[in-house]
Amino acid sequence: MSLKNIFCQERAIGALQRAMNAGRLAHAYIFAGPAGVGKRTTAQAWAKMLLCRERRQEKATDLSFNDSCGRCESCRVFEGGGHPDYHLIEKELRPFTMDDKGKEAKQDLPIAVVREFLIDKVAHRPVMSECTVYVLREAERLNASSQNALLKVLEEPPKHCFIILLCSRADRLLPTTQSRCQIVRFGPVDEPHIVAALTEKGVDKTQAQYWARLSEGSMGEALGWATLAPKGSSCYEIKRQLVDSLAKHRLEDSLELAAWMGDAASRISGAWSDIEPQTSKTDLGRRAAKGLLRMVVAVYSDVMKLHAGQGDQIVNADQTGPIEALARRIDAEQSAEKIAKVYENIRWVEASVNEKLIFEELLLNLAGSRIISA
Amino acid sequence: MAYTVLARRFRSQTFDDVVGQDAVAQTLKNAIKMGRVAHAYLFTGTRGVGKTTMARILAKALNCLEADGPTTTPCLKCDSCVSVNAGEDIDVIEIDGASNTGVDDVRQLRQNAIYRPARARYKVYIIDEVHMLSTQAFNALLKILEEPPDHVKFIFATTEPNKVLPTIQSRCQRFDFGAIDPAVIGRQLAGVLKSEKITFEDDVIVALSRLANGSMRDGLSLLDQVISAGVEPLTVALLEEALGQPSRQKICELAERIGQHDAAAVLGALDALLKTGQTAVQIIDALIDVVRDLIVIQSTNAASDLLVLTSEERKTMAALAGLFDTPGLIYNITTLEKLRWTIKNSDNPRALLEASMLRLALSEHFIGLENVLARLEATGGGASAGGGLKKNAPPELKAPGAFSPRPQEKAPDAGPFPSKMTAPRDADALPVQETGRMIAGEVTAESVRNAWGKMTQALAENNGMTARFLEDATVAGLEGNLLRLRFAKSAALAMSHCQSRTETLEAFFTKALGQAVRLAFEASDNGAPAETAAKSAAPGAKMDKSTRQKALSDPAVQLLLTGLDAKVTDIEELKTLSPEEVQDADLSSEGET
Repeated sequence: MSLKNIFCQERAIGALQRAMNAGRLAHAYIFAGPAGVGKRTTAQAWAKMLLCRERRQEKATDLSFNDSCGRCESCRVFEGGGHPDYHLIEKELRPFTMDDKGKEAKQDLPIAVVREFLIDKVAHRPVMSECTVYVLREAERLNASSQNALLKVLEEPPKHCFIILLCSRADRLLPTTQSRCQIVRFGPVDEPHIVAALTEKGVDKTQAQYWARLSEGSMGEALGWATLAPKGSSCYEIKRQLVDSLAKHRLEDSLELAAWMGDAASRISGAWSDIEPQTSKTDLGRRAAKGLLRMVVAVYSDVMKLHAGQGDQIVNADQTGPIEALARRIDAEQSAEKIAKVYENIRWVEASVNEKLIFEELLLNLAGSRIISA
Repeated sequence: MAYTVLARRFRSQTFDDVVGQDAVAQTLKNAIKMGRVAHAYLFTGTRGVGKTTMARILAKALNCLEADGPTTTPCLKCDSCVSVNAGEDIDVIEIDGASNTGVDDVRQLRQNAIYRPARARYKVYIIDEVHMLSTQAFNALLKILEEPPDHVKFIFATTEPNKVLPTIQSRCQRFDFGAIDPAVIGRQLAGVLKSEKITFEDDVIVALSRLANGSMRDGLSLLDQVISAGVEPLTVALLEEALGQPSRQKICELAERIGQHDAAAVLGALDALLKTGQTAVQIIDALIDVVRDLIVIQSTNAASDLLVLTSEERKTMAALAGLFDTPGLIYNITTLEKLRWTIKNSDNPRALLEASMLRLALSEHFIGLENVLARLEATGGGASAGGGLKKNAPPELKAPGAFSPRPQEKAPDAGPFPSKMTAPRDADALPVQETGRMIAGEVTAESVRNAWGKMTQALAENNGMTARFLEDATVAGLEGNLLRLRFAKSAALAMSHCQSRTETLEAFFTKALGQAVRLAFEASDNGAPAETAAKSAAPGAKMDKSTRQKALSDPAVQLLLTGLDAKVTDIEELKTLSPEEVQDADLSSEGET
């Protein structure tokens, strides 16, 4: 992978290239942006370029583009995945640390990993190339002590080293961390690119468009949903059914629909656990529930957009009928209120509230019952 | 090839260089001059205000080899000064408190501290990020911190003094480093740019010092990022592009749309912002900044020193401030602040952001209490007071596909007393339903009066609340197109409600009467409704059921009814609603025996 092949991140790469051309490349960067938009790919291609010993530069009037040669020893070793000056730090390294030897990787990035794989190593001189590159994945999972341990290194690392933090939630990092790094923001991937990538995988075009819009420009997420195959019916079928029943939804159907949603969620999480056996069941269950709730949000958000005259941007473009029917029943402000309501339910998912109760409460509320006041 | 960032290159070297911390610098200088340097200092303050810098300067000042004793002006040339700057002096030991957190690290420090310095006067321990030390580590420090050897000095630096044990704090001299004034940051940045020989527009400095948010390092890091774009001169547009900051202009535009209650445009402006890679939190933060500035403008003026704005921005903001009223802004800022938390903790906050912005745009203006009073008084006098209360027009359906204009059934959660958000909407938003002409023959005041009940019922189908209020009105007269409605003085609320919906009502009556109608409202002076006699409804229809029952079941009334074989034709309440008087029934006996 070289920098040229990365699409939709021209702004981010351009900013890096300009800094490089001006000779002002900082030693610590945060690559910030939603999950699945190509941060890691970019970081790897960038590292490859930095490490390359016969770097190419294409002269252009506005922006000279630096890229790796792909032929030198460094590049070949990098492609082979064993470059001695490139270090990828991730939470899965935990079992291999001295302090936490053999322990399983947890949700967060423990200090042992950061200390042993980054802080203690930055002083090492490069072996093969002119510099060393450290890429830390999922920096949003750094806990407070890990981040504090990083501070000194981030502020004044050795001259030969570059540190890149990949982070989907840059605003969650400590202000002390943020102030020591330069933040490069990664935007969402364009819809046509995602649709093209999905259709290449054999996904139907209308479906591809739906997933592209639902995932809001995250290629990884769209791919995940579109290729997931739960038992019984595909995710897309589930979504169609959900939208249809929401459009016709009435108070007396609430409990039935909630049970159906619970069933759908468990089918989706079941399919996930086949793909990712190492992730915990609870985590997958939550992800599935949140996915379903996001589909609900999309429905009401579409209604809102319809009322605001932005009918061409709706997510459920394949099911305009039910959306329009719903739009006749509720106005923009009501749908805005309902969206806020669903978000509250999404928060409950993270707070380990019983899934069944969440769906029931949500649907009762959506039906406008005053039994449970929000 | 590695480049040293500005924040490191322009780290201040002497006490006089340090910007924005004059008090601290002066105190330390005096302490050195008077030979009263304490053995332990605790420097606190937010990121990038000069804690580590000051600690290093102090270390240099204590140890400079050029002078005979501690000096306020370290030479910066001797071995000691140079190696302190590089962070590798053997007598100035800089420890990262966050990675050496354990009690063992402190034990080691204690063991080494007893040895005399190698070449300088003092052994200086600088412990940065000291808040991360464990409790045991802190406690292990206590003894040596209280009575260290003469040659040992401690300097602690931290951003979170609350995590430093009180027993530690009481053994140190604590210096709080304040946030740096934007103007000072601006001056320093301008100086840096000059010495780097980079041309710039003055507005960039203002924008940068605002973004720096009181931290010098933030300012310099941001400046670095802007410079690294490699374009000269530096402009605000370049800055927003390079930093991925939401463009101030676009945020102002968003605020303007909210102020104009234009729902569709609000969503459009949001979409434009999100497309450039801004996160929802960034947008909220920027919007909070703008709203804050608007509040400042409204309470002082656009020239206030409390605003960090360019002259151009001051003008646009002043114009923007006219769209809002202060209570409304305060409501907005609290809503945004609440929203910020939820959005920060949500994975895909876009829809929530859009929904909340829409609600802000559609929410009603706030009206001050005095305005309400003024309005009430005005309506009492019969003057029209529409104005501020009038809500913006709700978004119309512009969607593709044929829509029936309005929900057929009333929104399920609009209960008998709709909340503030929905109440006016009920009346205003709903276009009057297809209402056929309701009066046969000539339209006169009398015929309108006769059909009044029918018409209010028809109105109630769509505008329940207005219809109920309209029942309190009587038709005072019909002159040409002008329909005069009279309200009892006690029904001032009903009158003001109907008045604020004049347009809807006029449209309704125009249809109902089959001719153009304009409305005029008047308050009747005598308390009793003027022409209630015109009512043809069931006895006491205007009262609620229980009152009516009570009146009818009263023994005195019963006696009259049975004894005289009378029939109740009407029940009327007296003005004062004491229960005894409620029973006052207007009886007419028919067919007396």
